[in-house]
Amino acid sequence: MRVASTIARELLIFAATLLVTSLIIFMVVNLLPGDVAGTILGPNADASSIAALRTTMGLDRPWPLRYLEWIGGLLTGDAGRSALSGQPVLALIGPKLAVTGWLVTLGMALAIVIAVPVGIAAALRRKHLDGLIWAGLSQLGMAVPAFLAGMLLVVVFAVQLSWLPANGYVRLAEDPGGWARHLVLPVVSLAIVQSAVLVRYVRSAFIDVLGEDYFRTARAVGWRFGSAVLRHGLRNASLQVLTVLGLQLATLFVGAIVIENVFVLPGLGSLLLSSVNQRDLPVVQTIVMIQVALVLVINGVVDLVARLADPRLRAEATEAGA
Amino acid sequence: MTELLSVENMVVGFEGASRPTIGGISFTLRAGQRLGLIGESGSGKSVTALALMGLLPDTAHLSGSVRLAGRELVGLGDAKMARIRGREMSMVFQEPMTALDPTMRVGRQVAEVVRLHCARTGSGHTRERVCRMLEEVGLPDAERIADSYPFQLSGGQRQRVMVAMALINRPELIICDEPTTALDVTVQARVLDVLDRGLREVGAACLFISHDLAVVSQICDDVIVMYRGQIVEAGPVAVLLDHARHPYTRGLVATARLDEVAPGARLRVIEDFWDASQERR
Repeated sequence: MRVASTIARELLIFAATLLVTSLIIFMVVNLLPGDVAGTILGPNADASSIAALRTTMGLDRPWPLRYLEWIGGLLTGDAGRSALSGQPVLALIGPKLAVTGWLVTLGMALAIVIAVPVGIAAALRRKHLDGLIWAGLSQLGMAVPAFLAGMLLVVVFAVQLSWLPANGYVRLAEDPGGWARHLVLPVVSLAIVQSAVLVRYVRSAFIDVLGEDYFRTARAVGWRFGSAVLRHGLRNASLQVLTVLGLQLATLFVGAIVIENVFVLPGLGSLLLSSVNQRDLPVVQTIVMIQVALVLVINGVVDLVARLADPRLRAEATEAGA
Repeated sequence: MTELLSVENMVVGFEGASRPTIGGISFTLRAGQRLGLIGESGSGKSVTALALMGLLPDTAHLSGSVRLAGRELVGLGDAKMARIRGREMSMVFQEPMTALDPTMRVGRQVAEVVRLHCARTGSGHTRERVCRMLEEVGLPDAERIADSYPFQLSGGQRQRVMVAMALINRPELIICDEPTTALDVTVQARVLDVLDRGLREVGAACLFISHDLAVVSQICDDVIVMYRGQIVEAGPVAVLLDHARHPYTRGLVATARLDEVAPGARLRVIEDFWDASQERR
């Protein structure tokens, strides 16, 4: 019962946050100077024809009405149509979201696979040359912008070696092999930068854990060093890293736009950018809304996982829910 | 009498330190003997304990000889040392609040110590053994304690769990590094009592590190005094504390006395101390 009420409370907060955000998004987006009527008719159109188009498109109606229309549509799963192409917004966004989703999740997964062992090695060997080299590489990786890493990879693997395509995207359902080949370079360049950040946190989390009394206890009762690290270090250290991980993931859904541009991937970021330029407000609003929802969901999941992994938080949660 | 632990000319130095932290100490411990190790902060008591356990940090350098039941421990690899730790020799640390893994139920942490050293025990049997051990260290509600996380237990309860972990494999030597210093005075007495009974029951020898002379005289037969990394004096507790020859030991006794002028329960402790030492004489 307690768990159920906690979840209900969280969902309520989630819904309220989304509602408030939607209002803010709508206001900000509608504050942008210029509108889609101007885009459609071009820079030479006269004021009266623009006004006429605005009336036909419903842009001259008061904003509370337009807001309610939009939010009501969202609730029923209809985000309206693109002001420019007339396509349903969700049908427009769906495939782009898939591209960004693959890029971000695969990139983060690879980043974790790289960062955890490297971070542990850097922590265990921090007083040796190899440990310092790992830490130094992590610093270097953080200093390299993602787009630069991407371009370097393109130069080597696409241009020089011609092993992989330099840009573009193929849908998974169409051609799984081509899909994978097109995603390798973007995913790797994203993972390089993200893992460099993550290594730092994994390293410092493990350095903390190695100095903890319970780690010494684990050794004193007969765990060998490596087993003690896995048995009593990993879980405690991952609690520290988890928050950073969630933050990174959330930022990436918005920030993957740089990588998408370098590799000409038809992702959410590119769509958002072009829609803002063309003042295609229904699309802009909905993309930002989806991004906000994703960030909230990721934070919620991180919270949940942290509670499952940390008995102290779990106890807190049940007390709060009671 | 056979020697269980024999330390000869043990030197511990740390990287970057001008002189060694432990400057060549030697002492022996018979099976079942209880040896107190006293000295001021920084005299090398804890470093001695960690050196015996093979738990010194990487930056430390250990030389000399440490023999446990005839077996040389200095230079032994981590894998071989790990098999000795927790089975032949175990340790109780000073800080019960942080010595247990916060993310693991304490019953499982005690059970781990059993399973680590005897591969062929069923989990039901282990659980039973863990609960019995928890009861023995004065946690009558053993089932509930075993299912608790460290943060749900008091300092005294946690230290009892630590004592249970140290005793459960019936080691021949238990090193206690100020096991009651971090506890309330009232809890101190009870945990000491539990430790005392546990040691007797298991028949383990004990190296008991403390700066509390009263506690040492209550638990130990003999005592060695460390000062700046050296053993300056050694002998039976009663004799040594009453007839301290080394000026530092005399100072220590006097300081302890001055400390006890403070109000409250500690006054009683020093009275106990004098009574106890006089009885032993």
